Amino acid sequence: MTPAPESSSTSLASVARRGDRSLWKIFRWPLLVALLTAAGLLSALLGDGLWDDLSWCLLACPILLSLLGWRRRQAR
Amino acid sequence: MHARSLRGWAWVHKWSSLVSTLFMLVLAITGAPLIFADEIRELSGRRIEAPSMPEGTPMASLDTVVSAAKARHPGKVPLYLFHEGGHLWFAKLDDRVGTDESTSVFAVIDDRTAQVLGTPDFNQGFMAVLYRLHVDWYAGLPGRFFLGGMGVLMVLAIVSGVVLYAPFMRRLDFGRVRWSKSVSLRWLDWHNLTGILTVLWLTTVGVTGVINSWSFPILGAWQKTQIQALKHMASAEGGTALAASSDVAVQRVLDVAQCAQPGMHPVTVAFPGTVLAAPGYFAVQMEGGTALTSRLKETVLVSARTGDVVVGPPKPLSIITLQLSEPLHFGDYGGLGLKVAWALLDILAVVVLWSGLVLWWRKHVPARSASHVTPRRVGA
Repeated sequence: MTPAPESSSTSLASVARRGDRSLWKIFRWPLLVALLTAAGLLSALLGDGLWDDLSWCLLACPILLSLLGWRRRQAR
Repeated sequence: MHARSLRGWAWVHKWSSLVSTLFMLVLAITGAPLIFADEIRELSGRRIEAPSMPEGTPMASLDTVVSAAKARHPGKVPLYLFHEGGHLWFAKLDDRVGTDESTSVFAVIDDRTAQVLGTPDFNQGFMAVLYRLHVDWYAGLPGRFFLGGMGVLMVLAIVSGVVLYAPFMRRLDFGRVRWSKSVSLRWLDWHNLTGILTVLWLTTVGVTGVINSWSFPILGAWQKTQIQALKHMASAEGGTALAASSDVAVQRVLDVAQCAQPGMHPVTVAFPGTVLAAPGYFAVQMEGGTALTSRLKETVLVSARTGDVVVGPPKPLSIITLQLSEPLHFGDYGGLGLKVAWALLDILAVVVLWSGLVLWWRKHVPARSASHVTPRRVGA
């Protein structure tokens, strides 16, 4: 199977032309992760005890989500 | 967004990353063990511990503590006393006040018996090498500024990277890595995924790192402001400004500082003329009991001539920023769990840096590139 040249390129020139996803769809997950990270960074700074634990639990979100990349599923 | 402005962002991303990546890799790799510096010191048996004594054993006079430190390091003058908890005073001494403190010596002293328990050399050993590689590359202040500048470039790379994330994700689900396509695409998808996940953490650590690299000029500017205010006050009282001699007992300095800030406890006594104090004035840093007030330390200035507390100008925003930048860079403010999270995020940052480097490498070294190279490739 030969992939279409455009879809298999790391070139910006080829990806910039196409696209059907809105910015909201692209950035809604990253935005959520950023908000959770910010809450995690602040909670240990502003509180002790449970707030310290909440802090690393929240910071675990981006770490765990990076595991998504290991899924090997078929390309559409 | 227009293809032309995207190409502009791609140019910014490529060059800001390319210039800073190798330095950032060194910072990320040396930073990981530094997160656990305390734990490593404890495990390697280098941590000095005070012997256990009955609760409520009175503390030794600070003057005795200072004498013990001076006796252990003859010819040196005290710069600071740090109270690190666990009944220990860390005395830092040097040939004179006002050095860059790179060859200062230490004495660890029991705060109840004033016994010297050890003289750790924080400038020696593997961790010290890592620290210098992380902070200044053995080049002092210029080294700090240089690494700070690299940090600014990294923040620029992050901002431009977020802009470039959108066009690359127009047809891709969040979190997806295309394993079945080319190797280059796999690196690209990993780069985008780990980059967007760590964006806030890495920006925080980057910006606070840049601020920390400016700690000496920030403290210096604050000291200048204080000295000016103190001179002004002294001349208004008709007294001689900034007396050089220090006849006041150090214990008295501690006592009056404690009275000035009840509810807080002293963590640092800075001697007159050091970067944390002012000429002619001791500075006692007081720590509060809560998470935030233990970071936002209050400083009490005590005249070395009269032993009285002087109320200096209020703490400026720059100092508050610096005080908050330390924990947010070191990740040492929420116990071991937070440190582990910090280290794992640091590893993700290494993946971002490394994958970015690989992407650039594959593009510019044709022999190792994937088979289907398109003639024009923009962006790394």
